[in-house]
Amino acid sequence: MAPIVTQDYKDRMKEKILSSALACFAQKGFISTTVDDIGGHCGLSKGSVYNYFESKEAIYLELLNNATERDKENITKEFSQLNSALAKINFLFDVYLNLDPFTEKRLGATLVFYEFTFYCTRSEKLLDLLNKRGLFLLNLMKETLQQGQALGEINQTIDVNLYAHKFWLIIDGVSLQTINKDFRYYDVLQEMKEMYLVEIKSL
Amino acid sequence: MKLDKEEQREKQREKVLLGALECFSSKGFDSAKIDDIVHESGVSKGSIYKLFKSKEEIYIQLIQQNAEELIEQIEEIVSRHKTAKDKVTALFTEYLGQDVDSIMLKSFLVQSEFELYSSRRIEFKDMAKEIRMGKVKIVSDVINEGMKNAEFKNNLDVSLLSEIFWSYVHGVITHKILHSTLPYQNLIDGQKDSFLNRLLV
Repeated sequence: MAPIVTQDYKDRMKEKILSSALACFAQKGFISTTVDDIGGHCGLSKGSVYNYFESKEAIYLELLNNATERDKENITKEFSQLNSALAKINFLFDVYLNLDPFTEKRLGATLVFYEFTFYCTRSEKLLDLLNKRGLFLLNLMKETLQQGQALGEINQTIDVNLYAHKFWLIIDGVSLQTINKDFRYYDVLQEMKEMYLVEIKSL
Repeated sequence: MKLDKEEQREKQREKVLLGALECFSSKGFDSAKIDDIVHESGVSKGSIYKLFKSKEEIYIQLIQQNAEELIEQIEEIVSRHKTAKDKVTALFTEYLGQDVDSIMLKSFLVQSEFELYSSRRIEFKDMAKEIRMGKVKIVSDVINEGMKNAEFKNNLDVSLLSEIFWSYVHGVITHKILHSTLPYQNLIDGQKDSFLNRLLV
């Protein structure tokens, strides 16, 4: 006899919970949203939600990991067509320069992400999970800088680990400020991009 | 001699706010309870409620005080230097580059969370905006000074440069909280040089 609850059914339920969670988080924020809210949104009891996810934190981490997987795919595809490390770094900056951070959807996602980030600083275990998730992005940048050094495009003396962090902290710095409608996101990021490129380029 | 009443009140208020900073930074605004603040500050619940209407009011006053202290701190750092170039340098080396002692990190965390929080709460929006404008202004003032006395280029987009400085602060301190062991000093020095390059004639 086939199992009563098939894997396919489970996957569909998980999807349902994740998409409800995304809606609730965007609307109320990560902290204020309860597992009850998420269940309510998709017509499940709190108990049923817990059958699929251990906690609210686990739900958000899964959403985040799914988003990272999608980014990973896109970036890997794009990178495979570029030989120059500088072109790759340019491409990554342009991903952020070409998006509109002020749409309701994007802003909601930004808010939840940083709310969750700060929340994680209060738990070593969560912080560890969050940093693990960011590791792909960090390593990607590190490898690109190393590749650029090998190609002679990037200054040999820079600390690639530090400058990989620097790239992402620039992105975090500008993204955090997009909660202010009047923040000049594009101008600020464009200038920071130029400064960063000057700092890393071979003399 | 007995402290006069006003002084005593002020002293207690400060104790509560210091305890509140500890609680809001370690637990977050939502999870922190008045009882936690009682415990942390050593001020009784009754006395706290004589000074503040609610947890929310404690939060607002804490944020306000943090923002004022930040401006004072920057004013103090800047006032120790004569040229605009040295002042901008000090913004990086003395303000952003300072050892991130726990109070500064905690204040930053609480302040950043307030900014996120304010975007969902209409009643906090004006306050958040005012704090932000104060920060942009104080760095703009330094750059304007350098333009006036011809140390800096005369066609600078001052508020943009100030925003760049603050974006950088947000990025660095957020990463300091997440990855505490990086050699941030080198990173800040590099940014300082790029920034000055952009300003100097």
